[in-house]
Amino acid sequence: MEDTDLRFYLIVCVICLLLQLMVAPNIAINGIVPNILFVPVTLAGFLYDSRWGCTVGFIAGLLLDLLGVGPLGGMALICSIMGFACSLLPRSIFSESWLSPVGWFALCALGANLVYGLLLLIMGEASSLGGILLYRIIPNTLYDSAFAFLVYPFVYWQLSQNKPRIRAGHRASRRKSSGKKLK
Amino acid sequence: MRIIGTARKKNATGWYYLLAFVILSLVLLTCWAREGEDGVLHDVRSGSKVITTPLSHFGSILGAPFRAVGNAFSNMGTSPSEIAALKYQNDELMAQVMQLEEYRQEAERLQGLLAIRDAYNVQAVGASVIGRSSNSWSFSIEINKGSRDGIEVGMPVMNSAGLIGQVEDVSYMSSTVRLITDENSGVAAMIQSSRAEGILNGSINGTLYLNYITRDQKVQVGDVIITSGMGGVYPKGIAIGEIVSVEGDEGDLYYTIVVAPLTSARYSEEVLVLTGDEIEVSRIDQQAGD
Repeated sequence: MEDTDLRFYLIVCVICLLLQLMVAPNIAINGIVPNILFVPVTLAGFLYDSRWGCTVGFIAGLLLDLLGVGPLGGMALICSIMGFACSLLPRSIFSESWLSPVGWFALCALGANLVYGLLLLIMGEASSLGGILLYRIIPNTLYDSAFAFLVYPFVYWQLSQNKPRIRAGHRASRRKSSGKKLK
Repeated sequence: MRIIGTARKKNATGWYYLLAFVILSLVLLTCWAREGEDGVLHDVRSGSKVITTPLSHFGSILGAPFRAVGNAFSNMGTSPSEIAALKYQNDELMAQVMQLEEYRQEAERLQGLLAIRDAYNVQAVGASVIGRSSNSWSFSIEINKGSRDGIEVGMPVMNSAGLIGQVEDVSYMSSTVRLITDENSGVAAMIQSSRAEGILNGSINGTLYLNYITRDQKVQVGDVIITSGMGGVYPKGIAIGEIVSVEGDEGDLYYTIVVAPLTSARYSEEVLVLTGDEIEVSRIDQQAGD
């Protein structure tokens, strides 16, 4: 893992956390609050391996659980799976453009909101699937995706800035490893 | 081969991680569902509010302009006639705003709260709203009073217009109030004119429904809804809202009644938490009944 990437990723995590705590409740549209913490969870899966995806997912989900009034552990469960699912996608997802990761993000957000809605339905915290689908899941997914539209181009730009260095780093590490083998 | 082997090993470790986190989450969910309001996990959530509340409050101050944008989006579905009426009302309000200073408005709001407290003869603690719901699945607000101020779970919360909710979660310095518009909220209520009693429930889209009013009762659009005092949670006679629509077919046992709250609780700035104990509440019920 490249140090610059990791530093950049941790900065994204901190910014998203602060945005979730301080800004998200104030930009709610008709009660729909964006899940900004989905961004670092999906990024962990896209950029790093499944262990990162799961771990960041669990922590972010737990934070979302603590911030809300719903059952504790629900979002942690869903975000862990979401982070893991994102890590199964090919690493080259950011190589073409930022649109492909945004598409996958939207799909993940839809899945996460849908499963969370179903979980609330099972636990008796919501009354009708139609209601939550129409008033929560779809608007929330759209709002989450709108946020990804803002963040992912910046992430793509930052990663493309680091690309030459990463390639050089890979070449150097390959030379090192081949040298070791020769010995 | 060695590289492929390492990748496989990493992937397998990822599955173990996933399994561990899924099990941990399910354990948390089960414990949460099984434990009561005084359980460890509920305490952990309350404790976490000590850290998140100051940040949320700071964000609330900074986020006032963003909130205005959000409100603008929320009102996009309003009909032209409503917009015309609102514009007229807005002009009137603008004239008022130009005349009044901010401190005077605040003083008025506080006076309103004091008047409410005197009118209902209840013990109450005034509080400021310092945060809004941080997820989409509930209608709630954060207030700046907690257990150190004598706030307890279940206490009713009002603003100057009437009832807005109930304390859901209490930490040392702040509390979470579940609004009456929340889907999991229920208030024993009655129609002021006919005294017909029912349960006022919130819904997923924030609409209030007055349920269990039988079709033999007299119900009209514009009737005022107040708390009935049944159950002992809310004192009797607190205003909640107005009936905006009444529907019911021939074969139906109950009416479908939609109630508009007297004020948008989500945008309240100061509230009153009724701290009187159960004995006092029942005494008030009795007085109101007489």
